[in-house]
Amino acid sequence: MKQFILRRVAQLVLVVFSVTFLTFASLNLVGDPLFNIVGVLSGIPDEQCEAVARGEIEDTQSSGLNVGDCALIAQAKEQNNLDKNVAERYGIWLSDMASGDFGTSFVNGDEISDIVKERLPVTIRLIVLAQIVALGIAIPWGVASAYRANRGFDKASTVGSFGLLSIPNFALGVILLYFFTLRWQIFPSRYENAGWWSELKALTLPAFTLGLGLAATYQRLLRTDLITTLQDDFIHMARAKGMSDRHIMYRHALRPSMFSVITVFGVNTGALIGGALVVEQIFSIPGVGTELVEAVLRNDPPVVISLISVVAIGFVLINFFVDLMYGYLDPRVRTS
Amino acid sequence: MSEIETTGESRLEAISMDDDVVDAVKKKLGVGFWIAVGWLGLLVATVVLAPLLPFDDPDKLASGPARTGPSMDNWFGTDALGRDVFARTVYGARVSLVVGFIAIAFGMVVGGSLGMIAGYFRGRVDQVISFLFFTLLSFPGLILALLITSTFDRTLRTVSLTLGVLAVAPVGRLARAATLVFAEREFVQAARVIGAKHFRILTRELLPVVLIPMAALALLGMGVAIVAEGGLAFLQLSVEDISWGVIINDGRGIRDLQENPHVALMPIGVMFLTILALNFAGDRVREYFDVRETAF
Amino acid sequence: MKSRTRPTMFAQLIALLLALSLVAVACGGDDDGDATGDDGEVAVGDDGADGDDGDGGDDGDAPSTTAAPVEDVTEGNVCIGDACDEPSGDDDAAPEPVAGGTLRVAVEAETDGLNPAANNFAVSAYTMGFAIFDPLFYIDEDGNWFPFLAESATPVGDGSSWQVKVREGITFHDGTPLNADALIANFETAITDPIISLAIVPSYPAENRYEKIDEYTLQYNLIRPSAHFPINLTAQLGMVASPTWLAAAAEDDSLNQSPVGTGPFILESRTQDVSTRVVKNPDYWRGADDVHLDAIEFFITTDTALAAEQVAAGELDVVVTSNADATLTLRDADDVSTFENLYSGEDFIMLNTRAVPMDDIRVRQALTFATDRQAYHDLIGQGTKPLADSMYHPDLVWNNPDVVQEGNMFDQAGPLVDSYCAEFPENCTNGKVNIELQFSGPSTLQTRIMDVLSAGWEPYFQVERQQLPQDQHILQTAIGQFQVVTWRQFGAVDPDNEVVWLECATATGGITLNWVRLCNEDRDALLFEQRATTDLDRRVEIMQKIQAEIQATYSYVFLTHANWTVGFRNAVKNICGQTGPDGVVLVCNNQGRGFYHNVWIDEG
Repeated sequence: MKQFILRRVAQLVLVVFSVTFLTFASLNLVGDPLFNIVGVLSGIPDEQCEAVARGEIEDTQSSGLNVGDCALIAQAKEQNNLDKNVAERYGIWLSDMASGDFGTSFVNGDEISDIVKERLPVTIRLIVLAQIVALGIAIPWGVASAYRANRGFDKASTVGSFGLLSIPNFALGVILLYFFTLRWQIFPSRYENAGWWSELKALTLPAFTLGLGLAATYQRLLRTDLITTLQDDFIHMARAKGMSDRHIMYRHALRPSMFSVITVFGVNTGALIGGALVVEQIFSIPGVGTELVEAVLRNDPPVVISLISVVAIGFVLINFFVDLMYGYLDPRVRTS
Repeated sequence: MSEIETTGESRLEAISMDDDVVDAVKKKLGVGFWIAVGWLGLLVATVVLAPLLPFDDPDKLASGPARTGPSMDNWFGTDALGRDVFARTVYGARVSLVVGFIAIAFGMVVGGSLGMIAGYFRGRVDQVISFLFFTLLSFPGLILALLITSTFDRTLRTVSLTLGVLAVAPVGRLARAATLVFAEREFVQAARVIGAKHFRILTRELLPVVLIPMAALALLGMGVAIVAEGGLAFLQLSVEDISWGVIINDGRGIRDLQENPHVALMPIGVMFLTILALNFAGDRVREYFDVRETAF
Repeated sequence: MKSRTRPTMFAQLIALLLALSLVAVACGGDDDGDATGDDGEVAVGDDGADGDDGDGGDDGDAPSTTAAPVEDVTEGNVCIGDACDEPSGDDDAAPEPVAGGTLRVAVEAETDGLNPAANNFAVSAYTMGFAIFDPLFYIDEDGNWFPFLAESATPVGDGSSWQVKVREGITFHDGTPLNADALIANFETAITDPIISLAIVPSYPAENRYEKIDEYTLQYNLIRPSAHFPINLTAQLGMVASPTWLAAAAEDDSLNQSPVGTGPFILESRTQDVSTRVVKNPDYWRGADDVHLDAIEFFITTDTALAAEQVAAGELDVVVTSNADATLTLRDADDVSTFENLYSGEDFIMLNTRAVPMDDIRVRQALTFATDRQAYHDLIGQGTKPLADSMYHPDLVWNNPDVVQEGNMFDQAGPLVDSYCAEFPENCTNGKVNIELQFSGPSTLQTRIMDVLSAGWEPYFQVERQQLPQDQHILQTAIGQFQVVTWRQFGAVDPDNEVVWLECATATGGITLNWVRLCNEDRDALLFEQRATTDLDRRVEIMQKIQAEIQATYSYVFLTHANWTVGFRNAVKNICGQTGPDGVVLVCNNQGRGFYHNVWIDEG
């Protein structure tokens, strides 16, 4: 077991490095990061500024420059380590990030760590709530369809879950918003965080938007596993003992049948994070997703890089723990 | 199996093909499958023939009064600018279908090749390729798409290839797992014994059998790609052209939802039916060949 | 990377442009677009616009055109809804104010910070800022400036210097006294700020920019005589912040989020991009009794159509918008009323006269003729805002009634395009002129506007769209990297405030607020003539000439008069009718910027 964990940790570290490097490099290699900081000034040729530095020309209007342009460029380069190569910059950025300094936005100078602190909890609560919704629906649903497999309810369930899986989350969000907020005015149209109750109300529809499709996924897996489990001897024994069906389903059959659901838990959290981008937008929730989309739109690479890295690392960690749990539950995995 | 293989997701793609594929052929695809294929065929035909059919110009203002519901003149009603929503939905399908198709084709070619190479050669090559897949899967899908489109541009090509990159890892893993299984089979071993070249074994012996589970995944994956494109378009980060996501986003303003919900709901309906058809057809194909896999 | 704390140069450049408008700007160079949401407003260029709604003149004898409230949108400044019949604050029959409660206000965008000497104020920042800071001067309901935090303003000699005396005995929220030294501290902070200084320096000499006359009086020395100086101190530059806090904020940027002023409300908490809460200042210098609310909470809602819906549902109390969808939602809602102002801004298209192919007047004419103004009016304005012919609403004294905006003359565009393309085939494709249409996005409304305009142009022009984030859109426009853009500005009380958009001074430079880059020496002479005079007739004559001249250049295509709407639940009382220190009634709904000093909530 110890060796298993060590191997997983090594793999985790490797993946974290590659994920962050990929993110960092993609936004630093393509395009000119200097443009994002100094705008049009980045168009001033290096030679011109070098000539100014050597005192050969004046940085005045006559040479097409404004006084101080070159100084600003030099300052911007120095402050952002643009004169170093990508690998070095990546190293500096990563060590800063590890010490909690995510840098600042190019556009508005905000501390990115503040953005993360403010936005991340909202998204985490949304995702947790979505998982709760998904499991809350999927478990009774899966049990009910497995209980009388291939009967009417089960068949209808299959159609229903197919339907849910075929609705894009942005479409589902728009539909839920239309009915529950506009038509029936059951849920508020505004995110408010004045205590847990107001936040819960505001997050309910988004959580259902994210959770319904996932519930269908879970239901299908759970149903299949339950049907297998119900063939097991111990279930027959329980039946023979005269236990109620309900008791058997929930107390005995359910736990060993949750295996597949746990397996896809990590992957689906990734789907939820992606879905949060869209769903937060629809319901105007101030989470990581909205900030990320805004940062992309306003061309703010430091914020984009940091947020994607944080999200990706979080995702990797979740999968890591799911994996450990899986290894713990299933001895075969450990020894392979 | 390499150690990477044993992580959470990969087990999902564990694949078991019936030993006797002939058995499978006896099963039926069912009426539902043909309805799904019929819908997809109708959609493709409409999209291809759209310029010849008497539909309105999707960009023409005031094809009818603005914000009116479905009628004989405007089957899906008109939007805030009086444009015909039916025409827009048909033209929007063009982008959605093209993106979905190119994305999955790219995923099949690149992911399939890498996966087969990994599964066939194993060892170091397998480790490197599997790690690549693992890294790609370490990004939540839409986030990776966002990263790529924000790095490059928003042309049809970039968006399609971006979603293609997303498809690489899942398709690749499936191809790898299938290759691992089939590489042990007699017909492959026999080819080896008679001294066939690796390339020949991969293309002549393995590819045909690996393609079957991949085909099922391709149908499902095309649905995923269309949804992903819709999501990007919804965030206005996709192609700058009409696509389903664009129309739905245009119709989701609070006043639009109240005055003319059909602008969003009609394309949602068409999109839903299309994804449903792809999912259903993919599922039938999967069951038909008894391919077990769930992750994409 | 730790050292990267100051706003970066890119931000500074943008802010520079915004701030340039601080001095003389009336209405912002808003692009009719929005920062992040789907509504058509946010006003980057609105930053620093100084306050005025488009009516009347700048001094006592200017005729006021503020009409009595009527339910007719063709009137420029109206109230629509049940609340309109109720007498407002200055009325004899004023109802008894109700003390207490929290006002929930939707603002359309977040601001970088709330430091009037270091951050750029757009409409949202003003809405929050006026609760915390008092301006030295403000504008009354007739459009005249009057002393607010100041006691008086006196021109010296020909108006090249002005003495401003502040009221005695006022302290900031932190206990620092208000005096001439505080004004100096604000001036010095603003002038050392890399951004805001650019808005001040051009008006002042290199040295001796000010002179302390006594404990409470500061003399400002200008380069050019001005008859209208105090109107420049009615907005951001007139807001006075605590010198103690300014000094601290200069050291630590993050303090810009916790402003300290003399205003009726004190900042309690602020979560950027979400909400800002201010609570009543118990020691307000004008007397805390006139401040009825316990607190105001400002919520960032980028989609003001959504905010309008929330006001209709009672989830919010007030929303400020210029988005037709939002305005219509507010008008339709029960128990909600609106104040709508058509005088304080124009929606129009700008053509860069120094960019190929817009440098050729035939192309500008053709584009003007092919512009479907009617479709814009019908589909974008949806009847909330009338077609505009010039930079002034017809109700206003400055308007030249002989100037009529051309458009919807499609058959006249063809020959012009043909003649241009015969001469410059390299700028044409298939007999259509290649043009680039730049806009800010993503935004549903902006996309619709582009769709409407393109539909009219496409028979004659090969239109390529370029969507940019709003700040880059403005930057590109300012540095001349554009051919065609949509924009919103103009509509000032005082025509002097339009000078900055039109003068030659910067038109040839790299960066200019004369966006269309059209310089006319004679026009400059006229502009400066009106600056120095208080002769209303002469100023009207000059502005009318200028409108005719602008029309002849085909550099602007006016579309509609912008409709600034303040929507509020009927339980919210006294939105209009609030008073200044000496009982002067404040101008209401000046570009949506809100004062909430005297507002109360009566759920009765």
